[in-house]
Amino acid sequence: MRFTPRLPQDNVNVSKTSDLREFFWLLGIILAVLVLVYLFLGFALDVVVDRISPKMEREIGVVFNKMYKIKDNEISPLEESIQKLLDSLVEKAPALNMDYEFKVRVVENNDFNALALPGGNIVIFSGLIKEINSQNELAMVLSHELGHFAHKDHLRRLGRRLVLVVISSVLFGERSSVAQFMERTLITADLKSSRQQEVVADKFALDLLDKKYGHVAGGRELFQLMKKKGNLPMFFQYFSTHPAPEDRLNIMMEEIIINGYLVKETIPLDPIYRDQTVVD
Amino acid sequence: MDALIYFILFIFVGYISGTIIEKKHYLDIEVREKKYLNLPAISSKNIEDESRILSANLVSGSVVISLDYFKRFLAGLRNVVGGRIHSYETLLDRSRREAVLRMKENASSMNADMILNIRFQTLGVGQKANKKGNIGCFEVVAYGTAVKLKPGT
Repeated sequence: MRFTPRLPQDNVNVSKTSDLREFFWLLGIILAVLVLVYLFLGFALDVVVDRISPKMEREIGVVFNKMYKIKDNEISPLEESIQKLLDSLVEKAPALNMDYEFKVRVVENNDFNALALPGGNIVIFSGLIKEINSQNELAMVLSHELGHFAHKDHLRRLGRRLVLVVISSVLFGERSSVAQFMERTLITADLKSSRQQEVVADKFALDLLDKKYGHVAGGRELFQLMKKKGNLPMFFQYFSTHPAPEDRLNIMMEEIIINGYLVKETIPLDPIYRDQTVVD
Repeated sequence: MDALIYFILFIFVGYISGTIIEKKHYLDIEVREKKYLNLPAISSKNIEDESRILSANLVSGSVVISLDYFKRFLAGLRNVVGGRIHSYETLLDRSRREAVLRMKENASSMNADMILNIRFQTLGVGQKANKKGNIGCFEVVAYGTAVKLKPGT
């Protein structure tokens, strides 16, 4: 047997395709399918949300209460004060589903944010309490969250988030980089509808503010505060799905003019809001 | 949104660095393959006339190569729809050739005349790290028997 030294002319082990082309091709197809499934499930969810009973919602809420370490019977003087304000707002809101028993809790967190949790709990971050200047602004925050309850946005969004996590973890495995990428993209795809939810909740809040005080002072101040905080698009809710504070301010000013709301003096905050910086 | 930008940056950096490294590696492999062209490396277990063999030694070459972020992500997409994972092909091709070259370098330092009975093995390294979403890597080992022939045969 003779040995003839020779290099192979061609490499059969490597495909002659472009990685980049494959990347965009696959990404496009998969994203398109996911968006379709997500939108479809989103519509299905809108149907289901109205059928969730208050009892069931409370059970869902238990998970979140644990997440934010909310205990049913422990209540601080600060929370008691906010609760009174909340109760007086709820009285003025006939559109609200009275099956809820609304409770407010303050959670230690520096974000300028508040959340509507399933089951009727409203969480306000201490970072928000520190920034606001009047009772009316606080009432605006609470009314906004009540607006989410009135339209069941909190459940809708929770459900969409769930759909998202389920889809991506089934396909790509839990917490893989592909899954994370897909989730982010899909959240962005759904921005429009959630922004609409925010605007609707803002309108609801203005209306409630007017019913409670006879004027809507505090609303504008709150959005100006938010604008000042600037880099925080995240306000009131779980994701950065809110319109820019400036746009919201503009929409609200229009709303004030259209409805002929009055703007009068704001009511200063009780000193208790300043003394109590740490709330357990 | 920030996270998305970081992600795209990672993919971009992974693609650029991965491509540059791969090109350089292939150039290097081609040069060295030409250099060792005259050292036969075959998979048969023996030569026709065993009496020609003066000495035999085990030689091996191994290489560990890491995936880059881009290749890994591309393979992740492939996992969904199925099909050939092209992005890993070049990686494994380079690893095998590099392993053979290292084995040849090993044999050449012993002044061997040829390498018989070549075998390959591939295994994943850091599989656990892989599961946590980190970049994984794999090893390719090539081994064989380097033989010296009796002078004049």
